[in-house]
Amino acid sequence: MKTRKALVGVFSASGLGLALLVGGGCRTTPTVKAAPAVTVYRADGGTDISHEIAFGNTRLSRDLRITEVRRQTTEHGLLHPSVTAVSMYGGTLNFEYRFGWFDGSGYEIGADTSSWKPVTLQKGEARTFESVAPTTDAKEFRLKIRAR
Amino acid sequence: MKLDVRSLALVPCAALVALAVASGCASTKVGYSDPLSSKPITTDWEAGDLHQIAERMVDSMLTTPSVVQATAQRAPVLSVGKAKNKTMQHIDTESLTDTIRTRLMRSGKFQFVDRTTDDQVAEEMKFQQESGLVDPQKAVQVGQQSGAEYLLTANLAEIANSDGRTRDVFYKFTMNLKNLRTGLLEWSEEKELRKVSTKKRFGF
Repeated sequence: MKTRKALVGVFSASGLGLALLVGGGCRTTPTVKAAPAVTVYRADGGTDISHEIAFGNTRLSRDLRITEVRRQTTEHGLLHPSVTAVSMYGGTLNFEYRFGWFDGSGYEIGADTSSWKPVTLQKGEARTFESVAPTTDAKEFRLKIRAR
Repeated sequence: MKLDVRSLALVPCAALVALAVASGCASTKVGYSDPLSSKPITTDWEAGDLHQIAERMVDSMLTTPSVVQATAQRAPVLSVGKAKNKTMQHIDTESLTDTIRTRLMRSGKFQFVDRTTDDQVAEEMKFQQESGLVDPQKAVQVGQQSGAEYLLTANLAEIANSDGRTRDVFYKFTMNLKNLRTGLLEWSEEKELRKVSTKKRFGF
């Protein structure tokens, strides 16, 4: 009898734990994740570290060299970042990018509003990607780059 | 001629296999996909084209110095004109201008008047004023709406070429923002898209 009660207790506790886990999962909202550090190779020969660029795979991070990250804001308060990259790939490099926006607490803003944009670069060709935040609530950005 | 009974028994089996293969080829797979994907399916106008152009237009408008200056202290009132479709395709250009208007409104830098619903508005106001069913204190007074200060107009054009195997379609979307008081164009932007499809020599 004691054994049965003990087993019931164990199952109840497990059930409660599972319920808490599930409940906790439901409360999760998309927040800004610390993207891996990306080296920015400045024109003057120096380097910086940026956590605002997320590559879809390591091959792309090798093929695209980031040369400038500008964190500017328009006069009326909208975040207006721009990122310049150069293709180091020997042939034609095809990829797509989109900007993600996050408020001061790290919550993503307008996740379903920024579309993927296709880009084709030849070796040594540079391109600047820029966008304007959807609202003045956006305080941080992520440039997401993936193969296509 | 003698028929082999075992061979005859195989006929329905073969027919069943053939039917299964044929129906397998014709099956349709349905699923949800990313509505903001850039992957094109044809050279025709597609959802990805709409999103790319709308974002580019809104980004440009929100960063043009004259527009930034006009929206720095207050949100001016805009009216969106109907976009002209100069392509050979049936394209819902109103959907494109709707997306642009939604994005501009979300920025909080502009206010909009919508002239496409004026007939319904007039009907509702007439009802409020004349039916006798609406409390006169609560009825909306006529003649107090805001007037647009700017008019946003757009054109979508295409140049299509084909040599049998390759089809090349060039889209050009142009938008203008006209100051209704001065008649001057305060902002203008073009966005081009080029889509190419090539048929394979072999295969289906």
